[in-house]
Amino acid sequence: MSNVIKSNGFTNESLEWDAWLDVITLEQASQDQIKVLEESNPKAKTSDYYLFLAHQPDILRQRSAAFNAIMYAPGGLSRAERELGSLVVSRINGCVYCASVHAQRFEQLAKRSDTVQQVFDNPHGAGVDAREKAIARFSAELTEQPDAIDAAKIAALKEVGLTDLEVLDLIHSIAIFAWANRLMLNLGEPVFADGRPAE
Amino acid sequence: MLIPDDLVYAETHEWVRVDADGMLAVGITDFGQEQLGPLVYVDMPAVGSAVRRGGECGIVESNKTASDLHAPVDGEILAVNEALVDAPDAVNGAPYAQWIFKLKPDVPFSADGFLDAAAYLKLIA
Repeated sequence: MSNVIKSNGFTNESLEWDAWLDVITLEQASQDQIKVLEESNPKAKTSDYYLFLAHQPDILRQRSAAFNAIMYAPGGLSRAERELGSLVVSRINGCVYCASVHAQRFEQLAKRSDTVQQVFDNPHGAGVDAREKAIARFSAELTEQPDAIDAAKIAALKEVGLTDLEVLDLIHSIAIFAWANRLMLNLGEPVFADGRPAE
Repeated sequence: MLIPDDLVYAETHEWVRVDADGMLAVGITDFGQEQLGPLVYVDMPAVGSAVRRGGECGIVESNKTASDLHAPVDGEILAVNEALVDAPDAVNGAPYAQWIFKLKPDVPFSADGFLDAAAYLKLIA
């Protein structure tokens, strides 16, 4: 991992997440619940987040399929730029856990952490070049005021080189974190591995 | 844990197979795929690109983490396994059948500096 970054209550350190509500137990889980956990994430069987969402296996299955399709679909926006969009959304929505996860993934993919520091400090002005700045600015604007996006704001993305497909991928990456952040923020809280609150 | 005897291994968990024509096929080991979990994305090097031994030339990702792919030797990328674009988790089911890229080494391949199956088993034990 790169250097630890802490700013405005956010961190790129690894965090865990504790549910406030009862999670399913593997001993009492149905076959379908076990199956969807195994499909969803390598850590799902030990993660409060997945163990809670598995109360509704069909929704978890749809959520995981949509997440993978949006974040990992081949072609289009680069993986690092999808992570940047998700990071900005998570920072603005105040989701410390999601911001941590996607900061780390951005660092793994981009091989640098300067943009993460910038997003934690001030997401509206983050980015090391015109393209990154445009992606971060658009991600912030779409998160804060979705009805204010217009053709000019899309054009601003295209002016820095994003293709139509990349614009679509970016909007999907932002939009799914409107959902993901709300699940994380309202069903539990982030903690460090030793149990200390992360907020 | 599968570790075929007819391959050589890098400490970064890539396997290397020397084909009859001297070209190299490269993938990730059974141990490597198990550490990552089901793959959801494979970023492969551009065909025709030059790579340097130990240099990063791609990424494999699961929902859990991402890991760089490394070139085993200096050479030129001849082909990538396009089937992995739409089915990256095929690597999990058959890590030694699913090569990720093939390269033409600048000089005939030497196993010096690589691990044989026994040494690789010791590395991951």
